[in-house]
Amino acid sequence: MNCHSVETAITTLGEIPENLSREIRTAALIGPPNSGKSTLFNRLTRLRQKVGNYPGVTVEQRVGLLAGSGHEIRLIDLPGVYSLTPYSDDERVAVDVLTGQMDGLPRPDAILLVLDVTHLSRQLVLAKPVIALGLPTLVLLNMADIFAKGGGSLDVLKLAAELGAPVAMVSATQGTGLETVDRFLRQEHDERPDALLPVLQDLPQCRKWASQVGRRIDYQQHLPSAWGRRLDDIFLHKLWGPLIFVVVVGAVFQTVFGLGQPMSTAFQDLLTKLGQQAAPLIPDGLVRSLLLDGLWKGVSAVLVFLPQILLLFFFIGLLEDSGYLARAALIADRTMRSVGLNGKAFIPLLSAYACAVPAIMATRTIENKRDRIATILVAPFMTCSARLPIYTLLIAAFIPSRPVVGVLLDARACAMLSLYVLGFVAAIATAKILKSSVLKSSAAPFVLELPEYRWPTWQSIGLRLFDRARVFLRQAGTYILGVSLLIWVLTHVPVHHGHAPQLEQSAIAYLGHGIEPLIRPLGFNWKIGVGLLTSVIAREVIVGTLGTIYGTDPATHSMTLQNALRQDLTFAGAMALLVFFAFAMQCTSTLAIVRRETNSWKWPVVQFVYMTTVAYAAAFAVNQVLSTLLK
Amino acid sequence: MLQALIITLREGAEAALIAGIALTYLIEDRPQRSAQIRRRRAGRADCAGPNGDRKRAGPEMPELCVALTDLEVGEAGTIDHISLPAADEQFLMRIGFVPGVQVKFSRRAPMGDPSVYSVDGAEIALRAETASHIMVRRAWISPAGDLP
Repeated sequence: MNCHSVETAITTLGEIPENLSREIRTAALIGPPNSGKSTLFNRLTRLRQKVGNYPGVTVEQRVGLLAGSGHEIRLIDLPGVYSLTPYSDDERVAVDVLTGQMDGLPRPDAILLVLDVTHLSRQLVLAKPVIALGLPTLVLLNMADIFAKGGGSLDVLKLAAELGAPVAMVSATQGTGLETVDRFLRQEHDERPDALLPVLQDLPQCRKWASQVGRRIDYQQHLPSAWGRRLDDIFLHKLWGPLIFVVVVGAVFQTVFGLGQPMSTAFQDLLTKLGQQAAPLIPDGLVRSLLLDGLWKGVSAVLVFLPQILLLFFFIGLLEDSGYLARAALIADRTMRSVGLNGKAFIPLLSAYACAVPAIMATRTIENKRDRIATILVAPFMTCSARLPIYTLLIAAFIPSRPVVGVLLDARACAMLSLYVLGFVAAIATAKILKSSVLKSSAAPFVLELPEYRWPTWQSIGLRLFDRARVFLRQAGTYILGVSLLIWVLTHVPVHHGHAPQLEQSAIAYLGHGIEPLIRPLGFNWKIGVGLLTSVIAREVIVGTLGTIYGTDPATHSMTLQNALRQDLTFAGAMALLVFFAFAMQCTSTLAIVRRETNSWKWPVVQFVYMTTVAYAAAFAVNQVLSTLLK
Repeated sequence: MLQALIITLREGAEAALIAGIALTYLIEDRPQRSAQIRRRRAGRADCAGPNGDRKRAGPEMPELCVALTDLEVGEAGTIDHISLPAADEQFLMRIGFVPGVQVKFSRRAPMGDPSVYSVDGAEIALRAETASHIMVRRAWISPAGDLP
């Protein structure tokens, strides 16, 4: 970066009219990564926007409305930038928005510059080029609460004089100082056509200027709390660090399964009761069959996994917000390096445990194009939450609950954990192949900032859970409902003498038997085959589909889906199905995002073909080996 | 089931607490590094900037230039220059590794390699392959290798 670029930035903006006083309609939030822009944005707009305690969470601009009275003010939340000279794609987004070059967004009328006051000398480097843009700017020194607690201090008025812009101390997590933002944005401002600050040539000089400013404003750095350092002494200890890492991961899985399973069962009972209560209200016949056996069974088969998914997200949120996740990334770096992946790939890959779509968007922080494509290609192997329904269903049906490592880990949690490991191994093996052949490149420096430990707030985690639940319910209400309807119709045609056909004579059986030769070697029957077809839309759809098929089949009508599967599928077939799901690319949203991010059809097609082939081969091997062993 | 889980969690938390307390004592009583190591290091060349200009303090107290990885855990130095390609150099500078800034070697990661450095109040982890190209001046060592 060099601060010289500001001059060019201003000339490209064209003439700025002088002495034009006007009200603010659009304001942009900008600041270095992990300075708390998104938390502030959430506070100001009361809109949900995913935040985390590591850099690179926001990779696209987001727009929200400022909460409160008065005229409408749009707020734009931007990805974190270190400078106004864009190096990676997410920085380019920020610069384009600020200079009014982003399609569909007007150039902002004002800037809220968010700086983390606990690292002010480093962050001030950004202040100069941003203020020099000439827009009304309010400098927000965030994390004021941590700063004050650690004994830090500075002269706010002197800083405002140095920068030529108003400065306010705020705490986005505590919500203090935010009234200044409101007051600032609702004032009328004169645009300042000329930059007040000297424009310096290069980064070392910018940094020197920042240090001098720091001295002039009596900046007293806060001392990180001693217990944060002590926690690191333990979490990053030679022996305890990796051990705690393993225990934490194990405990999360054990709890998601051990605590989530009873919750799911209770939820399932509730849903079944609801269905039974509703039954007499609907006239007997086709309509009742459609609503209860078709739609309700299909949708509720998927809905019952909501508690487990929320539980998993609760733990991920806890680890992320507390700051432990960055330490885990540090411990995992050795593995990432051994497969030649960029260290920055760890965070996208980690968020791929939740969902591959945001993970693929998060790869924008990787500057190297080849590294980025490699990360995009391997991300869907990571076990996303959409795999959880089919995993839990099959594991609960086929694997007995039996202690393996004392009370710490039972067989079911163990099976679940090994599926996660399997996905991870597939991802790193693929990365290794890609990086040593088509996508070879020199490694960019690995840089990982360890944020200070913070107490996770209920608000942040609550919003995250709410968001996840909303996405899940939307899926259930659209795709799964639609597919359930389609499956129910297919089980009821062709109509003979006004009666629905036997399941074996229905259109769905015809379809299923059509693909049966292909999937028989994997140990799947035709019903699973139909599920595989529908799950190309999204992985969890298979559970809804199976729910509908088994629900309409008179032989299994009264059974739970678990019991029906146990009767209809061999152990080897069930394990093969699990392995198939660990590897297969069954998600149209992911394919669409890969198409968008790589800007070509080549990569999504390659990815789909490769993953499906691997899944088929692995499932075939598992079924053959297990069925000969168990004979 | 639930009860077993709660007991496990509680026992785990207690064990972690005890281990933690024990560890903090262990780590704080680490012995200071010996003067011998310092004397060995004293033989290193002075810093040469990217342009080849030699930065030399007075003869009575020359500042030694070493790679960031050569610092001891807990030791601080001032960044002199980064000997990496321009793109990587810029990248590291944006993170905070700017010449003239003080940097401290805070700790090593469990597996030994990525190490954590403290710069501008931020804790940043770098791999040895990167950190070995960041040259720092250890300002406080006298030629004899004694503490000032």
